Amino acid sequence: MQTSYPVVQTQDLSIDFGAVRAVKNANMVINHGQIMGLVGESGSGKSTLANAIIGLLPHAASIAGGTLSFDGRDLRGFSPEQWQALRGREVSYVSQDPMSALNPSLRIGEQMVDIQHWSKGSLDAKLKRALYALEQVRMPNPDGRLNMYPHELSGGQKQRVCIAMAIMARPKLLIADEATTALDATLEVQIVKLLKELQADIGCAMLFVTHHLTVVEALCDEVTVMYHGDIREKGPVSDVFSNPTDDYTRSLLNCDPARIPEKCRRLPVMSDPTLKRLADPVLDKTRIDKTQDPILSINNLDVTFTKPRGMMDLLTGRAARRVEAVKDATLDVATGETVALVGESGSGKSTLARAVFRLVAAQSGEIRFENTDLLKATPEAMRKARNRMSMMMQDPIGSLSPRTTVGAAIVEPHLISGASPGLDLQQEAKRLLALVGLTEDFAKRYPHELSGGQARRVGVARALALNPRLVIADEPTAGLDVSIQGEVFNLLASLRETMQLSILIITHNLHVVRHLADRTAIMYQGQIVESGNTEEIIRAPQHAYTKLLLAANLQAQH
Amino acid sequence: MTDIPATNPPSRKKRISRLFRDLCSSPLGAFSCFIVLSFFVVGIFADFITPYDPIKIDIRNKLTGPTRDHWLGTDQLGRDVLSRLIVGTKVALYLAVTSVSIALVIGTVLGMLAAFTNRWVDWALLLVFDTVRSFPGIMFALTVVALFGPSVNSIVAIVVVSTFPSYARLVRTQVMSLRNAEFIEAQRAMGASLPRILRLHILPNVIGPVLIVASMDVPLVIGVEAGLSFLGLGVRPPTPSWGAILNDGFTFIRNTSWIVFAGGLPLILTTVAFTSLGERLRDILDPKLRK
Repeated sequence: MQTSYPVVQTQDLSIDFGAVRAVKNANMVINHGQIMGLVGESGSGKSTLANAIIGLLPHAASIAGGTLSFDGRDLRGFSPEQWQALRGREVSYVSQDPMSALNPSLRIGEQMVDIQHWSKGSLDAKLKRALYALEQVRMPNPDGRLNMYPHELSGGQKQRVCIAMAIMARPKLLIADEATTALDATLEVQIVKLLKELQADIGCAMLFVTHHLTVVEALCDEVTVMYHGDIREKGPVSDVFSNPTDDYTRSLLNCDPARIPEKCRRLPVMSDPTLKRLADPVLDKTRIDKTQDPILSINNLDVTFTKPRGMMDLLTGRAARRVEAVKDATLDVATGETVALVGESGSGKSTLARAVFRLVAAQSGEIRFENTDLLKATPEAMRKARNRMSMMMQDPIGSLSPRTTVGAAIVEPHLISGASPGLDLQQEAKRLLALVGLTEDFAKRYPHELSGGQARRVGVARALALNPRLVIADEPTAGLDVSIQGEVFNLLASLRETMQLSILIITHNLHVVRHLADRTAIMYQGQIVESGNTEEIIRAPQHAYTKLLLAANLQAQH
Repeated sequence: MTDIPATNPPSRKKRISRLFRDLCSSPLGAFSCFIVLSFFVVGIFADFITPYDPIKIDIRNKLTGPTRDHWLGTDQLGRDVLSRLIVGTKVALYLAVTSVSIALVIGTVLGMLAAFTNRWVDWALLLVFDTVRSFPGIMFALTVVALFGPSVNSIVAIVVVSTFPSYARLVRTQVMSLRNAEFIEAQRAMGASLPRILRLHILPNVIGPVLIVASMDVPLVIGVEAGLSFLGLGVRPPTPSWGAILNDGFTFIRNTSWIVFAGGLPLILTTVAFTSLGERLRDILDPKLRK
């Protein structure tokens, strides 16, 4: 390795957001050829720090003190022209969401040529450089891609294009802000591997901003941990992860469900990092009632989406196009049992859940809930069934109506079902808020005034309003910080113990499921390819896809 | 992110008083509020506050310009311009309120219907909207006036028919983007009925932009009336209206320019006031934009 010199250096850097100090006295050095991981929860100031390096701080933010230098140049007081010369050439940026980072109406090739405005070369030279960059990011079949539109690529491929655009100018520093967060576990592994190989190829420094500890461990050389604007700890990844000196880092590592090999009944949380209850096999047995018929029994379910025929299709008599989202799925949930349905995005797992609530129409098969076939149920029977099962949608904030206060939202199931006339709704709202551990004054808030974890709790409260027997939870912990994941996990775990609740969890994250689910079913391309006891599936996966998924998910398990 | 202050409890009385406080929190907002309120007050009490009979002819005192007796002067028949303006406000208010609210209701209902029923209904309604919109406005207005004669209600009909498609289009597009939002799915999973979803969860989220269009349509309506009256196809003389006053003013602009100013100023003021009020209202109605 050549001699390493600092690419980015900050000394006592402070950044103010209005009256709030978002970054306090940050000292950070990123050396040439180094991959620096910047870890913290949402609101820790990690993105603000990264944005300061590339000069993209929002207008409300300003540098309050300290120094910030890039490659020996002082970045404070850079003019817009100087920033423009720096960005995209010496520093480049890969954003979180590959879906919205590309212009949907331009071909990949056009976008990749357009971004080379710094080069005076001919169009041919630019195209050649674009093609070479696509090869560098291991894009399968790169020639054809230049003529494609973003919507013709998969999520992982789009992220590869974004990375290719970022490295074309041979930057000295590549900033990746949560670049793998929006991707499935299997894709995440691929992108991490790619970034590591690329770094070796072109030798730039890299700043990887994330809240995901597993990725940092797999990718980075150095790590900086931020909390509330403070840098709490920094050092080589192996040192920090094996021997953290700071309390916050230690609890952050403690709380990561991926780092707890044994199955737990309660996970540690930031407020109580020592909390950890191992699974209780006796309790798990009594919780599940196998003597009755399963509460939910899905047999040979098929869901096919038909693309509506347009006027031309009707005139020419062309048949409608069909997509089989769920094929011949069979799944049981016993009373009191927690079952996880695991698969990547597009595998049909959410469609299956939505079919249970008849949000999408199923073509054939059977969905028995408490011995009623929901697919053939009368509206009256369906209404009764809806009072006894509930659904938690994926997006904690997006699943709450934006103009409805929390207090009104959580009692809505009562109003809709009409099952409890004369109920004191204010009392009921208080009861539900207490049930999920929120204080009463949350009743007056609007969804946008909640954090992700709080909104998730509200979602749980609403799902439990009618004392349902079955809850279907779509990605209950996705997009939440590690510590809040633990809290939501513990909430669900304690509720199922006190209420004999049956839970069907839909997720792509095996770490949480491993602790929570009694049984796991793996879904791949619309089919349930494997199902059984969670521990057995993790120990001895049968299907090729399960093996791939486990390899991707459990790489932190050394 | 943990210490966000909770918003005030939404009691109705408090909400209305807060709405007014928010509306008047900027100079332009206060000014717009004042103009719109006076527009309503003057329009409603027009018959009681006119200093003279607006149609009383006094040929000896014609085209005087402002005097102590006639603050805004008199027109070519010696009628008091101020009184005519005040009564014209009544006509303008009636027109604005009826035609905009009828168009808004029809447009919103049809727009939601188009977005939430099956796609054949959607196509049929879209065809109707676009057909109506493609019709040249002036020609349509002249046809209606020719068929039903010039009257205030003809103007209402013209405005309703020619503006409801824009509300419907706007609402339809907005509802389309909300239709598959997760909170709507959550409602359907709970078994909420379609009217409930539309009323409680769709309408409050689409009404903001509709109100802005409506507030911008108010001056448009007044303008249409003024235009038609200017052509002699609007309100029947001698009933005063802003357009008729403008028309008179233009005819005699060589004698005195006061009438044009007097007739044009309220038109400009209400246009500015309603438009800026509409924008303030949108910001205030959206809890996310509320400070």
